[in-house]
Amino acid sequence: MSTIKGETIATEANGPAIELEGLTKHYGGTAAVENLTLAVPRGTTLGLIGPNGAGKSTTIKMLMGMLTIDAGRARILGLDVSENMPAIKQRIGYVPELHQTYRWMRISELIGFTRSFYKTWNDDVCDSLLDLFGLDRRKKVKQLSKGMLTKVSLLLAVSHEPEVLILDEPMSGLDPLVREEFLDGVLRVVCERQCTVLFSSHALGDVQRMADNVAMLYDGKLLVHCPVDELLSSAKRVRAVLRDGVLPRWQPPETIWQQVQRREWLLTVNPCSPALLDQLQAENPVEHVEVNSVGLEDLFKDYVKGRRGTP
Amino acid sequence: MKALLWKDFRINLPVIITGLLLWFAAYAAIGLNVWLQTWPVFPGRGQWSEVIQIASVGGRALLTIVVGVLGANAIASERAERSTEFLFSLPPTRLKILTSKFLVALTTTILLWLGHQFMSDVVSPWLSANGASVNRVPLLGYTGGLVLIFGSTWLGSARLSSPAFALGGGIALCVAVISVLFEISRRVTWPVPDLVPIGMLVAGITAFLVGSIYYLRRIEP
Repeated sequence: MSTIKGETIATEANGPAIELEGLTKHYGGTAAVENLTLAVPRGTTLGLIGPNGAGKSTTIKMLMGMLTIDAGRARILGLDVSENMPAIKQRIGYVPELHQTYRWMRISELIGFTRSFYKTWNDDVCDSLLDLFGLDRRKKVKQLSKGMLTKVSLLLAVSHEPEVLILDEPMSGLDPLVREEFLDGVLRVVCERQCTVLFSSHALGDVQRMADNVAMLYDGKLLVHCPVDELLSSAKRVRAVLRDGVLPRWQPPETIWQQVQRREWLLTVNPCSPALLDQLQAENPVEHVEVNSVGLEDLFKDYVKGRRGTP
Repeated sequence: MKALLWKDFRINLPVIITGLLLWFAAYAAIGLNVWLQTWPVFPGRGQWSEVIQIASVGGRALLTIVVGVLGANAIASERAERSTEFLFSLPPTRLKILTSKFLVALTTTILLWLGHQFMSDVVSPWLSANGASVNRVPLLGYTGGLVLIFGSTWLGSARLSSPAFALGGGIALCVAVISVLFEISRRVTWPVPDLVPIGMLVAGITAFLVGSIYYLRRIEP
């Protein structure tokens, strides 16, 4: 049970902050999200990555109650999103991809408007973020740049001290400086209050920096869901030099992507183990094998290229 | 709810100001016209009483346009401004959001209407020599018209993303409904009292309910 200013809401205290079970959404005959199952433990940060059209925004919109769920179930803080959205919204913050709000309002009016809906609004958090972001309360929303709007969006999403923060590609189209300031704001919230964060992004450097876990979507399906460190330590890029005029005979089943160019055979493997490398050398006519670490961005590209079957 | 009402009042402020200006314009234009006819003599009390009666009829005709714009603006303006996603990310339910929009439109309409009623039912008889009130607007017919225009434009607003298209669509629907009702009343052989005003009332309420249900169920944005 948790209490917000006198109102008691039944929730699971120790369960995952976000839980998706067989979540499915179709647009016409096309599956935007298909049988998606994953859990985000409390106090952790999940980076949701995938190419355009992978189903990231659809998943987030279903979580926010903005899209109906065709099949499966989504729960936030133990509450079913199909039944408890107003109660859930009191406890979550949301930053959308497009930061469009009332252009005619001043920042102070927008803050006052948003503040009135939350029982847990904290003026100190709001003021400190206004200072951190250098926002002028008197400015009208229509006078703000995209970067400023993004910061206002974050400020509005976190000033009621949410237990879960959902960010839907909030940093797309921002310059590196604003992105850095935005991430500082998010990190401050995460560090100060052990907030659970789910964020989708194309900026994989930011995901690698911020996320504890990563979930990769492709064509509405979950390809990978694991801790970022584990993924980066287990996945390797293998470069093998083949003997003249021969092609690889055996490909490890753990191969995500591969490419053969003349004598060079490149493959990304997850998980990569010494035993696998031994077998690779034993089964294939290779002269030399080199193993390298691979960053999240390259790994993401390899997963997508592997799925698409492109070199 | 207070914050939602404040927001909807601010969104509709240009329409409300226009409504007030039209309210005054109706009396000012007709009053000025009568004064110019009697120039340089200032019109007497009886003449002002008549001016107010005529102006209140004209003002109420103009009010139907304001009500139509209020209905068209209610939902579509937020969609046009693209603030819907932000609004839906906040805790209020759609029903509360919709109720606030309706209350702002309803309050504005009632206040402007009561202003005209006050002028025609209180001020005009007070100025008149015999204290009589003339040239009354039929209450049922006028209410039916207002409800029909509001319901139709509200339905358009729930369905479309542009207040202008919602207004145009709503007016077209009104014309169609009124034409059908007149045609029915012309063809029926047995007497049906107040068929057209009651028909307008029913059609307006139906359009309002359909628009509201559509909005509550619609996937936004």
